[in-house]
Amino acid sequence: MKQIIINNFVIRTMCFVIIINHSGFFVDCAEANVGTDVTIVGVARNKNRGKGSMWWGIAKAGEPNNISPTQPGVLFMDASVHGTLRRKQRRLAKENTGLLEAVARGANLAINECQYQFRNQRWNCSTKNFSKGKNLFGKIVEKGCPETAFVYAITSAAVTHSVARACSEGSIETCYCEKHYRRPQVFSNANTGAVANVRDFEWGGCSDNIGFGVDVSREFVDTGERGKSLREKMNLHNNEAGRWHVQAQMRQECKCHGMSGSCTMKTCWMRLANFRVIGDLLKDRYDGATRVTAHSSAALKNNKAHSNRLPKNPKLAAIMTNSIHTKRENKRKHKYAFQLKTYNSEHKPPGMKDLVFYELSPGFCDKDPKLGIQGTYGRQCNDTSDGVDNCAIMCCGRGYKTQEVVVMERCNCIFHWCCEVKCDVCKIKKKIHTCV
Amino acid sequence: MDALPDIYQSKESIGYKNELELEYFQETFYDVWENCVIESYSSLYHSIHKPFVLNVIFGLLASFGLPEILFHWLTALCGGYMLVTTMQSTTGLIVIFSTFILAYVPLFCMKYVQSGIHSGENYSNQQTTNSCSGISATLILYGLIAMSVLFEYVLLDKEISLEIRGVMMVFSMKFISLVADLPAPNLPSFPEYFGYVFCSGNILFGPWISFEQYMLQVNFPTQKNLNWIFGVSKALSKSLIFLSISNCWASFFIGDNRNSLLTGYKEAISVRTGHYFICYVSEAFMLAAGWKDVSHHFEQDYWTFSVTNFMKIEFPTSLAAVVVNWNKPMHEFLKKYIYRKWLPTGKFQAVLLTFVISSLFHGFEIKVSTVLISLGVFSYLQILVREHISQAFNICVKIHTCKSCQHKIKRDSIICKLALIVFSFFTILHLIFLGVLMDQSTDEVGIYQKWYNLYFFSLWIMLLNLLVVK
Repeated sequence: MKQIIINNFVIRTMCFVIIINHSGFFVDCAEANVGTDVTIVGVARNKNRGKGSMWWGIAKAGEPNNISPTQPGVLFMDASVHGTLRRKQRRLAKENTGLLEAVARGANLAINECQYQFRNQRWNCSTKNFSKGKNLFGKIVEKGCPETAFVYAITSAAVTHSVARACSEGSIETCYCEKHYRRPQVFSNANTGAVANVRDFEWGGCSDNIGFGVDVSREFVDTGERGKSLREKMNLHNNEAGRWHVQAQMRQECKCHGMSGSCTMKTCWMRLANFRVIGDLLKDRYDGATRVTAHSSAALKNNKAHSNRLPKNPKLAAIMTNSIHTKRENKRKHKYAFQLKTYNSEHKPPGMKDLVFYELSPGFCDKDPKLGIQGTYGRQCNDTSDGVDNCAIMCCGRGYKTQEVVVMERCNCIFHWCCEVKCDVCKIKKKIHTCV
Repeated sequence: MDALPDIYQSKESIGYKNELELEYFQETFYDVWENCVIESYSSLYHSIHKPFVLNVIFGLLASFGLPEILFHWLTALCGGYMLVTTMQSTTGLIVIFSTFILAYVPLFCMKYVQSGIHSGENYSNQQTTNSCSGISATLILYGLIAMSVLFEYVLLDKEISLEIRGVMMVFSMKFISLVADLPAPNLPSFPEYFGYVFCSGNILFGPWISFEQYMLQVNFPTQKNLNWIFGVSKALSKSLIFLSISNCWASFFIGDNRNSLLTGYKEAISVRTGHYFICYVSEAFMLAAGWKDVSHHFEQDYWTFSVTNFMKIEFPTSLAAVVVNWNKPMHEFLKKYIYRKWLPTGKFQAVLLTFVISSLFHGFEIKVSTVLISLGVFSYLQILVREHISQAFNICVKIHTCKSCQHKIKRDSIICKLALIVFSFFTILHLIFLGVLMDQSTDEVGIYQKWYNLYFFSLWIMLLNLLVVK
């Protein structure tokens, strides 16, 4: 590593050559830039890295689709699942029947969405079938790079999303009228009048499902992130950002029914975004993720100057200005009351919606067994694209081979009124480029 | 080197997109189905599965021919239980129960006093009894009106009064018809009264039925058969369809639009389908409990309880048709007990007073009252105009087909049909104009503001009508 730092500038200009020549020690341009960060990595290095993400394993443990709803305890009893969960997570699962199924569904949702969002990138969010959850995405989650940030955000968002949906489907019974979990929503901007009315008093079902989803996600997903290191703060922040986006895209609306405009009964529904929308939003945030650095006490004071980003969350702002947190009640909230300092002090401090990272990404070009990176060998690429899936970028200059294959595809589709689409099947010659 | 842009360094500058853009997104058909329709159904299931099952059980039990007293108590207990499970506010529940039970006190007094006069002094003639019950019916009417207005504005919170309004209205209608229909000595006993006002089929969502209709089922319980199941499921599925339109599809298909008329149509159709939903739920409840259209009570295979006729409202021929078909039992009540009573003072006054009293029953809530009174005035003016035109052009465009049409241009002529289509179009416009006021999702927008956005077009049409008539 040291050698790289010393030769930083040399490698920057030479990296292409190195890669092309397939020299013994592999490194690429992005990695070469990391030089200045090494000290921070050293500070944040912690044997508990990624310990909060063990639960990811339940995505692969016992395919959740096979779990019959009549036997809600089955997944809980599964030993391989049991081992990956922390005590608090097991307790939560025990208290809320059906929760574990929802979390497992959420984890799978996260994997699918991550792979969709990164399908054209060098790192394609590949997963391994390890039962130990933290290795699910490979060791990349032990780093502090933007990909790690995205993985954390998308998993916590997916848990929130799927728990809220499970509540509304009725497969988790404890979310109904559970006073313990009820709380005013964190943000209340642009709410319709109908929503404001609902919160004043409880109607049938009292389903604040999204609130429950957020709370469960906080308890379940964030349970391991208790330390004070930058690493844990980063995870917490990204988990919160994931939940923020789910919450921002989900609104409960209700309507009264009864004789002549009375309100004998209410029906409620969700304006819940497709998880794809949340994935897209998080991907945008990934593209604009903020690089942060370990903060000193001076950094906290400086935050007051930046507090213009905070009023979106009055509760957090209140806690920030309130210096004494003796009450136990505040303790939990205090967990989220921190402000990260940007790496470049001229940049805006990260807001609640932003993803943060502190390490630059490894190149993802070549195989790195240490980090569990597959490299881009054999990946398909696009020779005409301007984006990251362009063959020159995807194959990191190694070049690519082109094959011509014959594909059967649906073509000449005509929409018939109403409502089916009729297509022919055509043989199409296609060029497929794969990285060498 | 250029081929590999240093994306991570340039992130900060491109990261912040316009947030407004991100907040909005297009929902797909599947999204609406999953998040709105399914959710609405599941929350509906939570609120109505118990009342519905109770009604079915009660209907099945009743077909075995329950003893009369048991029938009354059973339906009343079911009704009471439904109230307890459905109503959220304890205050509302207390108000409902105490009103329902205490209202028997004046009834009991009337019964006692009248029967005292009857038997004791042997002084009776039909005239006195009738006038007596007429006076008491009027008194009770005013009493109930005062009560509903007081509840709305003074005694209760807005939410609570909104919640109990429907139940109280059904009760008021039942009570007024009870007193007005029966001569005092025949007033019901306590179990009869109790069963009638707490009747499990209509306590929550109506419809109003007369005491005779209630007793018809007691004395001649309907036999349940396959058609019964079919009739109930038909009403339920209709209600489900209308609920999904009201909550979800209306806004999905019409969407947010710059065109105020289209937006108005969206809001109005959401209100109307919401109303059909409740009407069909109430039909399902009544059918499940065993009541059906009173004229077909003895037909085994007839299982319909007409509460509304949505075809005649969605494709209206006139406002009067809308008023009649909006809620048929309620219309019948208003016509029989309010309109007929005021008819001697003049037709317009009677129409106006009927709608005023109807709005008073709604607690004189400002938007509902505006809608109701406008509806009364508009429909009356429409009748006048059409009579006027029908006379002036010798064309058959009256609201009802004339029985022996003497006009030159008959109903089935093309000119007449075109004229009718124009009138239908104006009626649809009126329905949009009035319907937007009832939409809850934009409740905070004032009447003036909403009508201003619609350019007050209904008022202009009515002004035109007025000029035609004058």
